[in-house]
Amino acid sequence: MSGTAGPLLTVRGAVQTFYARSRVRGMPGEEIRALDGVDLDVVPGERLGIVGESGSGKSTLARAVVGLRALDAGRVEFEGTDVGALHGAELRRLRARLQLVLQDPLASLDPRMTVRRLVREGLDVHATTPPAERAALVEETLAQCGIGPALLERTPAALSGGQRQRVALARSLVLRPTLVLLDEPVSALDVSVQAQILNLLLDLQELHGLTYLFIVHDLAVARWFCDRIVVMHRGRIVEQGPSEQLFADPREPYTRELLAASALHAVVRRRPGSAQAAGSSSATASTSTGPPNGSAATPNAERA
Amino acid sequence: MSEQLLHASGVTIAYGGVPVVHDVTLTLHAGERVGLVGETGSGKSTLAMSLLGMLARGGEVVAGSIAFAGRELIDLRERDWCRIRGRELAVVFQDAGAALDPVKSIGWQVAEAIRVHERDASRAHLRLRVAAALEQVGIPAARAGAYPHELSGGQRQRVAIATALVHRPRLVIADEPTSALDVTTQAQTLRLLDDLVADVGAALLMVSHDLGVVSQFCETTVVMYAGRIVEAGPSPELFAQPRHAYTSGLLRSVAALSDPDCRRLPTIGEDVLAAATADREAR
Repeated sequence: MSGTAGPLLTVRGAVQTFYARSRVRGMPGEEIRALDGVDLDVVPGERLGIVGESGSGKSTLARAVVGLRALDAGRVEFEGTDVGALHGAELRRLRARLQLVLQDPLASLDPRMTVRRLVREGLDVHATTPPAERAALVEETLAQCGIGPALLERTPAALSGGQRQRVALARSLVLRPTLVLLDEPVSALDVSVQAQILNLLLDLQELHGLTYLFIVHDLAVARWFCDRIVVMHRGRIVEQGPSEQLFADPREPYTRELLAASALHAVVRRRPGSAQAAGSSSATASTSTGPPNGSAATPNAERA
Repeated sequence: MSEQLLHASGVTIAYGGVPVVHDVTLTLHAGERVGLVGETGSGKSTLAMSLLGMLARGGEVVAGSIAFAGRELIDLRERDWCRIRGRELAVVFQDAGAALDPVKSIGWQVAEAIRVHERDASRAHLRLRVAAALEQVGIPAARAGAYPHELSGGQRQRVAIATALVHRPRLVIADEPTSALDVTTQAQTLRLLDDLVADVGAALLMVSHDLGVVSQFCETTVVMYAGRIVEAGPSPELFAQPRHAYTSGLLRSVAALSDPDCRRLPTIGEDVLAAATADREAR
């Protein structure tokens, strides 16, 4: 089985091509390389962030990692096993250890199931836990995710956004995975709830010894949460490194552009001239490394 | 500041008899940019839509008055709304993909916005106006025949902005105008909106959950919580020294993200939420 020394997950030369519908009947459509030779290693226990804009290939990569879609070329190894070569029962066994949490729990949770059933479903499917122990495990995992017994019989519609995401987490964690792939798990949440879920994710990682692969477009969240960040652009990894280093010294123009643009979300206390009020556009990408008009865009971390 | 453009006072809005916005007073001056912030369910969009006479079915302003340029908007007949909406009061929605008609070209849609208020505009005149409106938002006039699905999300939102501004309105209400866009596109789109609103001399009411965007684009910030305005004032002061516990809690959550030494994000505690609720009930 797995060795603890090596990477938990390895992606080598991943290529995934989609074809746009052709304007001319019978002619091949435009080729879109969603993944264009991606290499990635995820080390046990780390929180690896994947950032990039929509269309950069980050979600396609996530799908390939959990084996939802076969790659056109390249391979994905999880705990030393080639994910692409697995089928049926073997693939199912692997998926218990490699869980996916999606952005919108209202869309990913069955609206007619109660919280209890939602979390229990995975245990029944995988059947690795004796039936007698399942109910207790469901309640224990939900409690760890901050969902008390009072909510067990509710349906997703009767929960708040934060509670739904807690249920989605419990649904994954009840299977005791080693790697959890989080696809924008806090993007749909309000700021205050987002903070609760991020704190919870850290607690759960410690409790269960999890490894996180965190897909996120919010760079402030990525920087705070992740140990290491991979920047994707047009199906390729353009830059990667420890979070602080990547933010302090971005090498690639695209990374700088992303960082400059994210200054848009920094709270400023003094109104700069309206001409430079916003974060940078692509035109200034190559010139600015930090937030535009640096002094003004200092987030008020120390004040608050 | 210049003349008062919009003054909503004591506005209470209910859905099916259940009040969701309570006794809200809000003033906008000509040319002013006001950011309306708050969480999901705080009532910010409901308030904004009431200013447009566009509350969802079942929604009703049950008390208060909304004066716009000296005219009372409450109880305005739909016919009268149609004369104001789009011409003096314009709106930009969050999702331009949904706001634009998928089966009409973008040029047709911009032209429609013009024709609604200028019935006798000639085709040649319309063509010129559409071209100018699109060029203004950085879309070549040659693309007027394109359909929404042929454009990127940022381009679609720019078409929506062009459409909103064709009549040089006095107030533009933007409901989360860039929340659906990528960060790099967001910055460009917001700057464009900011510039164009300044060009036509309109006031801007920007509904947003993004404190950063509001702090950078709006000189005035209004914070809503649980259907009430809990704090309002000039943005620099408000963000520097939030007076309400809820506002400072929100700011702490945002600020902690950029503090690498902070390994625990502050959340808005039960006590703060309880205080906000008590405060609400005391009023």
